[in-house]
Amino acid sequence: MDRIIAEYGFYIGWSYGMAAFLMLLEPVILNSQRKSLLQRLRRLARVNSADQ
Amino acid sequence: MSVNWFKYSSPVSFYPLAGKLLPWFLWPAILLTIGGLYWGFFETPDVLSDQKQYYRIIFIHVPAAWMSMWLYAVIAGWSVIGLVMNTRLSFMMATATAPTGAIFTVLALWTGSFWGKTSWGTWWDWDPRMTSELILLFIYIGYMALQAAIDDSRRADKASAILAVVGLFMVPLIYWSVNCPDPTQCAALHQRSSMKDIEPNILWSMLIMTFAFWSYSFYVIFKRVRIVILEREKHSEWVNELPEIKSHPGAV
Amino acid sequence: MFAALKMIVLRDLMLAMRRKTEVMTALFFFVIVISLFPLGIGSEKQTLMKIAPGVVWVAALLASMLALERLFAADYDDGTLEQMLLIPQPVFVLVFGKVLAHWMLTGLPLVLVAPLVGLQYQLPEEAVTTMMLSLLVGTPVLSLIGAIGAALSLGVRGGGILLSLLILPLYIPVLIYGSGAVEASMLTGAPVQAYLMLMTAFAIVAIIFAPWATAAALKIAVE
Repeated sequence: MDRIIAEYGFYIGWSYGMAAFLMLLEPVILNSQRKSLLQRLRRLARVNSADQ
Repeated sequence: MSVNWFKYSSPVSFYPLAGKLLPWFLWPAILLTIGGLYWGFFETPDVLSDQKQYYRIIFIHVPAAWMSMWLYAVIAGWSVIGLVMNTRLSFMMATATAPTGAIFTVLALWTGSFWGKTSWGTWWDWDPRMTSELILLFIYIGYMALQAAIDDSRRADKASAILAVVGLFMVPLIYWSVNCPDPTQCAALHQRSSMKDIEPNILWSMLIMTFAFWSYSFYVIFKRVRIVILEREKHSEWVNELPEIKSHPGAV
Repeated sequence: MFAALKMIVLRDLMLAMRRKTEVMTALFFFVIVISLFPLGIGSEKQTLMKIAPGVVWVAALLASMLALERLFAADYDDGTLEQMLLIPQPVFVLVFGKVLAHWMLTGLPLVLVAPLVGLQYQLPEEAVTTMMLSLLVGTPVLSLIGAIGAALSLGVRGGGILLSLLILPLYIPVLIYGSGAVEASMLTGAPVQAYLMLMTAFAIVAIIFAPWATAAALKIAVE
């Protein structure tokens, strides 16, 4: 049984693993992009309202 | 009905709508994935012809490949709408869809390669379908590169839209030429059995996973388009009035 | 309309003649690349005959791409392109004229140089004629499709590389059938006609649709 898992595990594991990795990575990257964008925009808004 | 549609065709109104819809796509994606994989692993036979357990890669590989193709069609669709109706949001949706489509293409290639190693013995052997998928990846990369290279967003939008439409025209041709390098007959290297011969449980699992991927795509693409909207519209009034910006004045 | 076409073609040809080196560059590139492969792969007769179709076509693709950058760039840089887009003739004519001139300067020479390739790769006569025919019908398609890419990436930084990235996938059908035709000509009983007719069909479709897409791209680049 262990040998079977070891044998299949490699191929199936890497396939599903990559899928999980990519499909979890995407939202994580998007979240961090959004965060830094919002920070930038807040600073921009602060600068703008300070000018007024 | 048509009045509602056009109301959401501006970035201003689409931004909050997309935000509200996000959980509606996230949860189905998670549940469908769990359901699809469960069905795929436990309700299906242990072997498929000579492939033993390895064929289970199909539950990721085939839906990913389908998504990579459909999302490209989606990009082309938004491009056409954008070019014809000159709506900014259409172009933004096209821009937002591309990375997800590219990721699915990479995933299809990756899983296809691993599956190929188990059934054909090599990581890559220029099988027509895999080759076409690789070319599709190049086309995605070209699309994203063109957008990134042009600074003016109007021009970037329109140019990449034209590229997408030209690509849509060419992709079937490319697929066909790779599949049938001899015009009088089509070579089929390692062609797997056609759809109707597949055991229903396997087919169902694949379909459920496909729906899961669609739901996931909506989630990720809507998330991304919100970022694109914010970035593009950052100098406009309504962005500065947004709660997420107003409520944290100057916070870092 | 034909007068305008003639004028555009002649103008481009004249401009190119004043800078002959540019024209020769693509051709010499082709010849050099063709000559490199036997050095890298091996010059056994069997090997040469096997790789010739693919090598010739890949070299043709690359040579065509090299010359594409300059298709619109010079006119874009000095403002002539904008003026040309304003004339009352349909932009299709402008594009078609420039592409025709470009092909005459880069594609046609390849057709004429094909016998040299036949010599280097020790190809039989039928293969050489098929090679010339396939290049004759295929290189216009390369120029036409390439023009779309050239227009899209006009004035954009990273131009040349970007152009290759955009166009090479689109060139693949021509590559497959062009080299397929030459390969078929070296086998007995293979349907070379089918390949050439298919490529002619490509050419016709390309002539009808590609300048239109190129024109749209040019307008976007200029506005």
